[in-house]
Amino acid sequence: MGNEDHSHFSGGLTLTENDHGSEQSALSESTGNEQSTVKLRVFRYKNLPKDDTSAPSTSFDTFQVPISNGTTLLDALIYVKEKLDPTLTFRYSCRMGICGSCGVNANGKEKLACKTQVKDLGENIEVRPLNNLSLIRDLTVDFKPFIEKNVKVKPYLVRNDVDVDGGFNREFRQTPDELNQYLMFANCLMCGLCYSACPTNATDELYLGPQALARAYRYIADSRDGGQLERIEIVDQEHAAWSCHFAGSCSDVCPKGVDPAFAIQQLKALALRKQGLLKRKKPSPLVERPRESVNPV
Amino acid sequence: MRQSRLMLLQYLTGLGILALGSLHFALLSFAGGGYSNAIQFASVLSVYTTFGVLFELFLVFLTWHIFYGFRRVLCELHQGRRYESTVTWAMVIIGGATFLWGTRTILIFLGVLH
Repeated sequence: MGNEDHSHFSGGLTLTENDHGSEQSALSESTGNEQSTVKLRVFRYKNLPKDDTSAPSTSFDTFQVPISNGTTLLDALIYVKEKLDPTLTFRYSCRMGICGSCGVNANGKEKLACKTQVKDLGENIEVRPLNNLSLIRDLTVDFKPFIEKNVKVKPYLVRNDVDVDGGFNREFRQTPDELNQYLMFANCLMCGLCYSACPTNATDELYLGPQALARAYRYIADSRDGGQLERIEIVDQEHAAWSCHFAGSCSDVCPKGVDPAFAIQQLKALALRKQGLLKRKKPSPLVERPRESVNPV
Repeated sequence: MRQSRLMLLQYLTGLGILALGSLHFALLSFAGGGYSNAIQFASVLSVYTTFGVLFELFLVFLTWHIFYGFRRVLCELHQGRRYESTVTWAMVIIGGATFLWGTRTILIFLGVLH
């Protein structure tokens, strides 16, 4: 799984249980909403040296967290870190479902912590790190293999007829219909929830994964792109599009409504008929530069 | 070879197995007027000798579909260049032996081999 130094989440490690924060009863800030408490059971992991057998490297810690209407899972985790256990480690940034940093597995399903209302999860919440990626610490996983697979599918416009590097500042012509062909797939945050939910990724560490494959389709479907054949060659290999079993869990967990499962089936269809269709496709032309004119007013 | 070609073969052989398997079942169950008559040794031999070429085709489809499918399953469970190469060659050898043994059997009931 990419980084050998990190123990895999399902590595058969001994777990311990610790209780924290039962004395905490209220948020320090008054929100004016009716408050209650949930039990947050959080997976903990420390990357201990191999010869250190003094403590188990994985455990579950339980925290009592006061919540009110609108409290998100991320708010609850931040509360734990600020008030109960500052050593709890997790990623977050924007807090509004845009950056895709705070992906976790909550009660067995991948979610963005910032978009998940605690009240929707019940009174007992189990939070685990994302699956199929190596652990770094607690809820933080190593995204390196995920990013590398994304890079493999050339996630950028490929043009052999125009030099798009350096000081390129022109636009390509694209109609609204052409935009709609890929717009849904352009919403991907790269949060990794689909990668974690994918059953093929669970057993095949070389599998490109739903995110990278959906990204490949996003550019193939873009009328401005001229690299369809190159990308089809990449996804038409072993451990790529044809390894997808169409479980659909990737599309189910996507917080932005992207449908990677559909994209992968489209890639399969394109791979089968690529010689006939893709060779005839010409990428969009450049938009003509507007003529410079002097405003008479 | 590209995965799309291999998977197309996998799908086509699957359809072929469905079609020829149905024919196989129908012939061996109902040929010659009813099930009891169809399972008589002479009826079975008659079906085999009449449709020998189809049986060979059935064997080709089955061999490809089973062993390529099995290879894919094994390569999803574990990865590595050496492992995948070993699995591929193991499937080629076992699949080849299965095909040759099946062909030998068909040639025997066709009377070509004794």
